[in-house]
Amino acid sequence: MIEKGRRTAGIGLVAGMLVLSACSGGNNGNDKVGDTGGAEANAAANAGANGSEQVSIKIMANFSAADMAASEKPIFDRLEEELNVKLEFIVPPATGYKEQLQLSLVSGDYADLVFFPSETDESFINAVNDGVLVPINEYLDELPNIQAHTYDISWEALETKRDGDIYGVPRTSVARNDGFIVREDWLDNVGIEVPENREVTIDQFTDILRKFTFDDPDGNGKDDTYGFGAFLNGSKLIDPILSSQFGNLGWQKSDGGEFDFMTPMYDRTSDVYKEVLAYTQMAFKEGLVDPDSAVIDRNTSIDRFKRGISGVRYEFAGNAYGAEKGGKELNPETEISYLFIQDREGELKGVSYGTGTWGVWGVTAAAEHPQRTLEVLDWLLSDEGWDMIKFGVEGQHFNMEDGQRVYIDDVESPWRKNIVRRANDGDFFISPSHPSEEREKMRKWVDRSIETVEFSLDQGFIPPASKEPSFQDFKLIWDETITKIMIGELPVDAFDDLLDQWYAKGGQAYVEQMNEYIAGTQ
Amino acid sequence: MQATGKLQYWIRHRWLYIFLIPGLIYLLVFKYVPMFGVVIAFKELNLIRGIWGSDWIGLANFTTLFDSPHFYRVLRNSLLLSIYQIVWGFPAPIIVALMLNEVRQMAFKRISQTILYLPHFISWVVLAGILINFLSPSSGLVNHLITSMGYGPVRFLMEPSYFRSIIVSAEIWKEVGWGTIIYLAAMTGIDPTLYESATIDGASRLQRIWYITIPGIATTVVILLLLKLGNILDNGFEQVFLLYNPLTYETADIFETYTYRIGLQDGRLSYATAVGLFKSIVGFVLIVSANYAARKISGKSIW
Amino acid sequence: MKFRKFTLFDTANNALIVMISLLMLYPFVNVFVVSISSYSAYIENPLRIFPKDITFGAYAQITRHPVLWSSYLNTIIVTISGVALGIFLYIVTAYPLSKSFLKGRRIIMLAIVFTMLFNGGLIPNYYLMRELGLLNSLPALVLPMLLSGFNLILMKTFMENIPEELEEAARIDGASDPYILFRIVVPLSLPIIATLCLFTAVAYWNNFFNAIVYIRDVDKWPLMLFLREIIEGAKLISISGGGVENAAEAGNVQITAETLQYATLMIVTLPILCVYPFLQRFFVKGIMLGSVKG
Repeated sequence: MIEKGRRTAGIGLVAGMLVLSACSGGNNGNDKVGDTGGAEANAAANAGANGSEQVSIKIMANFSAADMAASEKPIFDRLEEELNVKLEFIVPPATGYKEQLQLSLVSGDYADLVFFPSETDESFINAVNDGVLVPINEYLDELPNIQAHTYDISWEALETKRDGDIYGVPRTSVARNDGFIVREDWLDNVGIEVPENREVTIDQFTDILRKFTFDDPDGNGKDDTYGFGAFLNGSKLIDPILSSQFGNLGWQKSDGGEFDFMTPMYDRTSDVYKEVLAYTQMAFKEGLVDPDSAVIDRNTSIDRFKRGISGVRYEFAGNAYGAEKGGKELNPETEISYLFIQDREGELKGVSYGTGTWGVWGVTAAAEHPQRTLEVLDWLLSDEGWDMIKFGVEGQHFNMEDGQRVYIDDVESPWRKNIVRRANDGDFFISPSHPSEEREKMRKWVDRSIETVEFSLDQGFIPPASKEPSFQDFKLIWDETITKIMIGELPVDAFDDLLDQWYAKGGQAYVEQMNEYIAGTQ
Repeated sequence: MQATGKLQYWIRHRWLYIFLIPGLIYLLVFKYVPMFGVVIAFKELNLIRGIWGSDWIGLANFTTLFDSPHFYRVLRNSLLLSIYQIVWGFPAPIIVALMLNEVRQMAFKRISQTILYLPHFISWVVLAGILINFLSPSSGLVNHLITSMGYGPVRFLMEPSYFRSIIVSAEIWKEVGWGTIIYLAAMTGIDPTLYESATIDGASRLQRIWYITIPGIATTVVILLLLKLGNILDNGFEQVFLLYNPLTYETADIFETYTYRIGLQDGRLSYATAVGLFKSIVGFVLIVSANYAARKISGKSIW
Repeated sequence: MKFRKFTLFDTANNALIVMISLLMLYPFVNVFVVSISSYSAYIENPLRIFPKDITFGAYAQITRHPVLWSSYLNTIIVTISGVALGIFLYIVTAYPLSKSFLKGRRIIMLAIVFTMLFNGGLIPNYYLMRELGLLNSLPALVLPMLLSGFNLILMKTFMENIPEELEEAARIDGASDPYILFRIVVPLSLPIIATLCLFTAVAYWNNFFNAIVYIRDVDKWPLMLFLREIIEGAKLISISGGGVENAAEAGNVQITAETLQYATLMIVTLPILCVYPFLQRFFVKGIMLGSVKG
């Protein structure tokens, strides 16, 4: 009865019929936590066979299919039985996830557990600041598997307000320093040998790009190939071809200068970022890059690689075999291998993008059983859950023959692989259905990319200065200028000007706040 | 006396007003009630407290908009693209409709009409993909032609100066056939005896088009033009978003893409609402004055 | 029927129309050809107009998709109800507004034009739908676009051109306004009714945005949302909120092959393409005046 009353009040609130003061919002949150304790105690009193009353948990998630595939149902059946919960999934169309997420937050119709595309996404930050998401610190002690398989840096990134409160469970993604997939058959044709460890220097890499462009690596007698295939990422930007190789490792302790901590991108006293830009510019100007790169998206760039237009792509090592399989359909000669590029000291290291997360699960104020809601994720990371997540279900995805998993072709499971991951389990991303020697080969590269990763000290912190309108507006100028420099329409020195403007448009405050933050974490 | 006159009017035309009731109720509920949402433009939207509970911020969003250096570029790009769309895109379906209207073989007319409107049903995602391939500097058809004539390849989608022409051509390609339908419908209202007497008087085909067909569809043309003016700051989101990139932002960034970035990417919902409101006000002022002018000049208008 | 000479004008005109038609036919042919070719044939030449390694595998695969058929049904229901209700509303609303003597006509027209320019945006519309209890239901796909100011103005303009004499004659005979509207005006307005049928049917058929906002359950998806999910869904999922691509994650999401995308496009578009040829018979010149004189 009380619950019902509160829900009605909640609807009234968001329907805009009531004007509530700021403090009542805060109280609401506290009430919830207290109540939950009571509910748990009650549940314990009415304990069923496995120690708790069955509760229903609503989950809003972003998957590529709206319905669970029959093949993955056994996983969720097992989970429901084990935890005595009833899962209710809300899976909006993938093309409308952002809209439905925004609307569900604004209107107050949110689920208990909600997926956010990124911890830096505005919808997530707004939800935290406006009190839609609750801190989960107090529940973490009881969630050993989540604790064991999450990067430390991810937890820090989820302290959205930087006050110790953690506002979600990361959907962990393997943090790594990716290299490049390369046409091994082209390397043979142009007579380049790559050492066993697949590591080459910057100069050797440039040589490969040049030979792939000018030495007719596919032997068709036509000048129709390019060394490198780039693309526009989701922000419509071209990523520089090489970056960490010139010493760009994100925010690090600086060797002097105005600030204690600096990233090469914003460092007016260092040339590192200009060298990053200059390298990409050189490649574009010499014609080593597929000229369509500034127009096409990632998928088209993959297609053009398969087509034999470009010979090198920045790619996760675990996707190499898939690329080879696709390429062979067009040209049976296709052989794909992998390349790592050393920095100028001959070392191999690079920053992972982000903070080892690929989206966040937030627990909302609507959750009546936050602990049990989070246990859902925890169970999926337990040995039993993870085994099914990673390898699939026997009889559905594979059959056991002589103690080996033999995979059944074309079994779709759009959900299971997109809920949780274990930190540093790069193997997860290599399809278990690939031939085992190929998996072995790729696993070596993936492991290498994991062990050579460095973390930027910003830990995903977003300085408040970045919310200033003039700063946000400047992003467009930044994108335009950087792209024009990389493509060769502007000289590299235009970057100095850009950086001065950036500092004037709020960059100064941004760097100061970032320094303050990093100093506080050290 | 006057009162009875009024009463008589109402009794006599009661049905006309009864007819209007469902439509007006619909507009009230589905269009006017949600319109109160524009208050978001003057508030700092707070998720928990909802629209009404959020704090007022007055005209802050509008000051931000007018202070932003992007605003003027976006405004200029939107207006210029609209002018291109009006100058090239608006007459195109009229011309094609006139051509179709002159076709004497019914079967040929029907088949070509059906073919012409096919591209309307292919989504921009697919068409943009085709265009990118067409215009590709390395493997595209257009550049094959250009290079075979001995010139260097043109990077069409990377040059700000080509952007508007590409967008407008693509829009004509996609929508011209669809746009003819409305004019063809208007042409069915033209009295065929006019053509017959003109033929007897010895008028040529072009004269008949000029003196009979075009005046026959003039009202439709004026009304569509007025409505287009009202939407002068709407250029269409998808085609621009799919084909632009940082190299062409200079000419390609328009209100729709700007609102997309601030609204959906940066999550500044109240600011995005303010931008939308600005566009609506401009459109409304334009359409009201243009309608007034059109009524004075040609006697044709929406109201 | 008089015999007309086939002149140079006709030849030039027809030739030009053929050329334009070929240009317009191209994307459709390309989409069809890709949909019956192999995926590697597509990658080899995305712009192909001749099929290679002909296969109907993509069609077989997509027609097995359970969501295709439920969304087909939803779209048919939504389109038919939208057209039926919409056309009725257009007729009864446009008719009074076509009368120049109608008091309040200008202010109503202005109010209608106002709705074409101003709208409350996503959130208030979502609130409205929720208050009406229509969220996650098919009426939420029908109602928001039931009456478009644009179409209303088109119909009103057409009706204004109908000669007043016919109505007057009937009125003298004692006919009421409903009789005049449905027995005299509507038959004379068939070309514009046909046009609006086409416009509304296509608008409903092609709309996915209302579903993105108001629909949660997959069994209520309309066809165009299904198409959009096939074409763009996986791509969007593989890009995170920050806009960067995480190649490991992207490799984890299965992107639909273009052959399958295009086969879906063909399947969801064909029915609506047939509407126009069917309605074309109403676009016959001089319907109205013929009946006035008859």
